[in-house]
Amino acid sequence: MFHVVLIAGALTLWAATLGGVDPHRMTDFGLLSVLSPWYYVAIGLVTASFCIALYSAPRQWALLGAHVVGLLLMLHGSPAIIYGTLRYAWAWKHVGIVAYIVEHGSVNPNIGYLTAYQDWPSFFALAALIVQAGGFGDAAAFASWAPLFNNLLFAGAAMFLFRTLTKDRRQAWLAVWLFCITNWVGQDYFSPQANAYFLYLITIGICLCWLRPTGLPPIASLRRWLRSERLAQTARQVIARGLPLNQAGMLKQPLPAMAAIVFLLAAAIVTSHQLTPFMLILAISALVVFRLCVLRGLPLLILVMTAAWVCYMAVTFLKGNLYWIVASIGSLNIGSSTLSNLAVASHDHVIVAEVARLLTASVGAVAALGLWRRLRKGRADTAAVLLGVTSVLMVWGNAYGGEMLFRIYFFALPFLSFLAAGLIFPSPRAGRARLTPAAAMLVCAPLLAGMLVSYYGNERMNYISPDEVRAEHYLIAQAPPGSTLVSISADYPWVMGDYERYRFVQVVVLPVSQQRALIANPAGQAARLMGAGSGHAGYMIFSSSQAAEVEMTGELPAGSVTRIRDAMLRSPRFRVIYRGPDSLIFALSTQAGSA
Amino acid sequence: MTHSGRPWPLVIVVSAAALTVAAGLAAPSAVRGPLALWFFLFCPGIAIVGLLEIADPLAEVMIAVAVSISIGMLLSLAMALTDTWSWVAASVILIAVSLAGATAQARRRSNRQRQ
Repeated sequence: MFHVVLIAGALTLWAATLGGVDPHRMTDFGLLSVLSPWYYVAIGLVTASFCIALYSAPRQWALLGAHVVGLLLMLHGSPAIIYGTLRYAWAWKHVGIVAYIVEHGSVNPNIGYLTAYQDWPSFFALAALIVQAGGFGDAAAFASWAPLFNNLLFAGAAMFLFRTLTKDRRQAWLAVWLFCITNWVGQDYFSPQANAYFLYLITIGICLCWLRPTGLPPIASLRRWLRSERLAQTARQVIARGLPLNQAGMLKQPLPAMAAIVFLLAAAIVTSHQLTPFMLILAISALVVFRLCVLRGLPLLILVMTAAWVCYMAVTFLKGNLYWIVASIGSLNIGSSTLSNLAVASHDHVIVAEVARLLTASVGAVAALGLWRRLRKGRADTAAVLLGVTSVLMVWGNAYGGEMLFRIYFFALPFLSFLAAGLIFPSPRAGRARLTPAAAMLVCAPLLAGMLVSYYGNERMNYISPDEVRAEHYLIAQAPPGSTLVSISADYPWVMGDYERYRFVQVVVLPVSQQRALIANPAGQAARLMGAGSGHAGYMIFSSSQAAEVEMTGELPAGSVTRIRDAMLRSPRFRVIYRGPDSLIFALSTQAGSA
Repeated sequence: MTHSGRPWPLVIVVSAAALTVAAGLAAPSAVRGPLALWFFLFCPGIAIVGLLEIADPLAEVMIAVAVSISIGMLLSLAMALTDTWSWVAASVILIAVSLAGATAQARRRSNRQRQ
């Protein structure tokens, strides 16, 4: 009853804090700068209650589950409630792809933009089906809630996975909690990768639960492989200590049925996302090599499926991207275009980025300490270590558009969280002292603080205001096919719909010489970028989220956006066709259209 | 709750009926939308996974959601790639799969009770 009152109180307090939050007032600390102090009290209360419940009521799964749901609601429900719009400009791209399938009933990889989405379209196809069957206007109607929905699925899948790795439910629950409070990389939005990640976790869980060996490999077989009696004995001991566990009631499923489900899930992953199949192949290969999965041909099967899909269905993407994919294979892809260049970023953004890096390092450090404590208690955690390490191998696989480091962390995180929970609960007999809740709180509190800074810290540029959405709808209604749509950056809902009809130019990805020319002669260069004299219409879109991104990341010199915009307002070459509190759209004066 | 006590066949039938009625009456998205999300993300999967009688409810529900998503993705992908896109046809197929699974589960339970 004590915990129920605490959760209810925390949720009431949280809900009460959201009413007066104005996202327009965010600074470069994002949501942190506008949330009420009571928000932190509420999230602290639910964390404290969870740590106490782990100690006092470890078998009450409904109570512990309610804590996790409450935490996720506070973390991921807040932006959806406060904004009222879909956040992340890149989530709007996915809404645009879904709109394409709804309108055309097919995919078209030959469109010059976002080829990868059209080449791996199964997630978008399902979303299109839901949009039409549900009578939604577009996918944005439900996509705002995708982070909450996806994190609930991740937490459920992680719990299923952890229960195959430990008999100690306290460790499993704490691991789920740690996963939730350290998943800061923002891969939980309406996207194929979030969906494929959930399928990945379930696939690995099924492999560990039902496709694991029922006994140890014969010593003769290990001796033949390793060519050493001593090595074979050691390997057998490691495998014995690291075998996934028999969970009551989870055994004795027919192997063909579970293999068929794994095949189905793998097919969905292969057809929806570029990276996840390779993560899956690596993870299952590691399980097979270490005799933790009996389906030895499974990695090869998924590899064949992936190769077949890429070679036959994703040819367009391959043609345009093979050069950098091949170039980055074998390189140490630790540099990242999506990591902030802190030399030019704003002061507050530097702090947010540094905290995110510190949080990532802290998760690794706590996991290492947990592993050490577990080893001292005689627990090998072979499967968790293997699965945590295999994703790191992708650092040599591919730069993945500069995002590889984030993805590696994302895929390693469930297993790092599991090992980290071993610091508090290294064995079923340990962690029963009265100070255990305090120790759990001592681990959770700083990680949660780091999560809030890292996850909410970039919200000023992630927030897409209702006016920006209205402006984009207006632009799509006005711009004839073939128009050039110029923007400062891609941080606005640029692919909301009908994107196949337009040509896009984003200033921040132009060569530096062109950026300098635009800043030096805004009116002349903007007209050129908008295609003046080409016979097609041209528009230039300014918005608050673009300005926020450029100011925070320092992608253009300070004051550039204002200089370009003001020069265009003064120039007779342009006329304003939309003016809102957060958006301004210019058209070339020479082209027809309403003002 | 033992596996045989879980009301999946009833849940599937009621969900399929509700979605069919809501879509047939062109109900507003505030009603029809949540029904569609619920049905497509849960029912086809639980219709199949329910046959496995997995004892752990969390594992069963999570695998059911994963299977539902995968079936929905592959079916709609096939329709989009072969220019046979029809949300009505896709819905009918998924409802049929779900009802077939629900019937098989109900039959199995009834046979077991007779024995």
